[in-house]
Amino acid sequence: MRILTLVAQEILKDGKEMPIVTFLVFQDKIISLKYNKTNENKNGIHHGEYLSFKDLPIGFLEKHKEDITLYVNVEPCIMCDGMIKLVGLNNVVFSCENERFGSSLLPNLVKNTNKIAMIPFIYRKEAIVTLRQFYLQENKNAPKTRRKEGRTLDFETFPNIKWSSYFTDFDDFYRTIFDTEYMDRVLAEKIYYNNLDLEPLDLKLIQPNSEPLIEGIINDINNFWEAWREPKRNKISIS
Amino acid sequence: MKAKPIFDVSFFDIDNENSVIKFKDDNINFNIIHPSCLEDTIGYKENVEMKHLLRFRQAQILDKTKTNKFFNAIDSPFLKDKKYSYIKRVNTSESLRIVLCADEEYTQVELNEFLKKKDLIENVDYKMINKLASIPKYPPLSKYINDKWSERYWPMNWKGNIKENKLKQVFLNDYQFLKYPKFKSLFDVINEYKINNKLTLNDHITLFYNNKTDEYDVFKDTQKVTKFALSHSIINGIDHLCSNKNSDDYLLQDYFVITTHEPCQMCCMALLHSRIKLLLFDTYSHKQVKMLSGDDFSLASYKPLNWEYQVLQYNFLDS
Repeated sequence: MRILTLVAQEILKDGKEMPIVTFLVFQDKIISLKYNKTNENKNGIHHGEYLSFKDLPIGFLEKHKEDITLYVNVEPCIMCDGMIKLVGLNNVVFSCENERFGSSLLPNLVKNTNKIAMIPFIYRKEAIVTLRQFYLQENKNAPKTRRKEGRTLDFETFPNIKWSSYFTDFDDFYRTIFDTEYMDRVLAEKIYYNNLDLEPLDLKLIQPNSEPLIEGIINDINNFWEAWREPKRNKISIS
Repeated sequence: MKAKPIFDVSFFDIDNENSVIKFKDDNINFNIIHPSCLEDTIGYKENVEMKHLLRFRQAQILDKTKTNKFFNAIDSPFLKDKKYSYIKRVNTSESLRIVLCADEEYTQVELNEFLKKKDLIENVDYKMINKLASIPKYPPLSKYINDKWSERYWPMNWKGNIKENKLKQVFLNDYQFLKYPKFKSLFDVINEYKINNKLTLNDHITLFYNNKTDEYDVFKDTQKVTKFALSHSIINGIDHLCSNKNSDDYLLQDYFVITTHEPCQMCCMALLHSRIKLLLFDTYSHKQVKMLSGDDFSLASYKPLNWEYQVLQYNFLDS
């Protein structure tokens, strides 16, 4: 999730697309890195999640769906939530809420068909600041560029979290977010009932001058897929 | 090539409780799928149930020359809401009464303070009435009901059937709705496609029709071929159309979509992201949670989202 936040910063520097990044993680390795390409591809449904799923080798997703975890810095939208259900992923981790399209906007009746374990709000403040930085950029494609010089970046105030719209009750929240052996129940209660954030803002993660990461990660992903084909053949012959 | 806008007012039939678009020449009904239609039917009933009544605080005006001063004395977001513009402010039936705000907005004490600031004095210029005024939550849908409600509850402005006005605006101005023969030809295309590809009633087929260029494309589900759970006909269609698009944006605003089955959550939202105008489907979903035709929920007209499209249902498939 730390790496994802840094990658989002890198996309942000490019300035063309919403800095929404998705990772698919399988056997502790990142096997896919995609981000929103709605503007570049002129396609309203080319969200990171869709591109990630689409890019995997034929049949891989179906076979390993239960062992793949989706990491994304913004809550999946209603469409992507539908995709996650259709694909059958079990684990989703995300950073900040999506007030416009997020699947938590759905009425309970529809939401309850959702059996995915969602872990929300990991590095939430960083994700919010990244999005704020994106909206501060002047849109060069817009016919009339809005002047945004007067606006400043807000590091201090953050909207309240509604934990209750993501978990059925406190116990559900506690089990999902905290490791019961080590974590303080009192602290967890404080966070849940006061709608607090999990951790303070880490300024290091939103520094634009961090080292470029994407190329390295994509190389790793390519290496993974190169290596993947061989053991797969062996596995089949053994079994 | 640009098709001329096609205007046709012959298909509106909204004088009763069922929401349909009727093509009078062919005697054909398209069902309008829209959950707020349920609320709309209240406007056809003479007696309104308690739960559909709103409560307002009211005062009797004693000094009639000061009536105008009351209108702006209280800032009531509720009464300023366009939704409630059918409610007249003043009732002259027995005595001169005025609605000031909704029950929950201010207390009587607060109202007295606001009025005092405007030099209106209690028991000289006005008298507070303890009894709340009950007014139906939804506007009346016929002139007859309007008169009945004005007598029974509170005077109302008759502005025509809002349902009819809204539909006319949507289908004639925004969508330039097609005449039935055009729909018929598109239905024929789907049925032909079904036969040519040896598909059954269970296979999903989607047709994208561009209202401006008069072009269309047909797509089918390909999950089995691509071994990819997300290759639904609608997603395939959007991907194909967008990759062959000339303009710079990602919107499909000129499109009507005709599909054989009520779409799933992903497809409904994908259409919404693509900002289509109209969806027509044949077969209702059998799932417990329906995305479009649910009793009180339809993703196509869900208020928190930034776009809505109209949804119609009509059985066009040849069995």
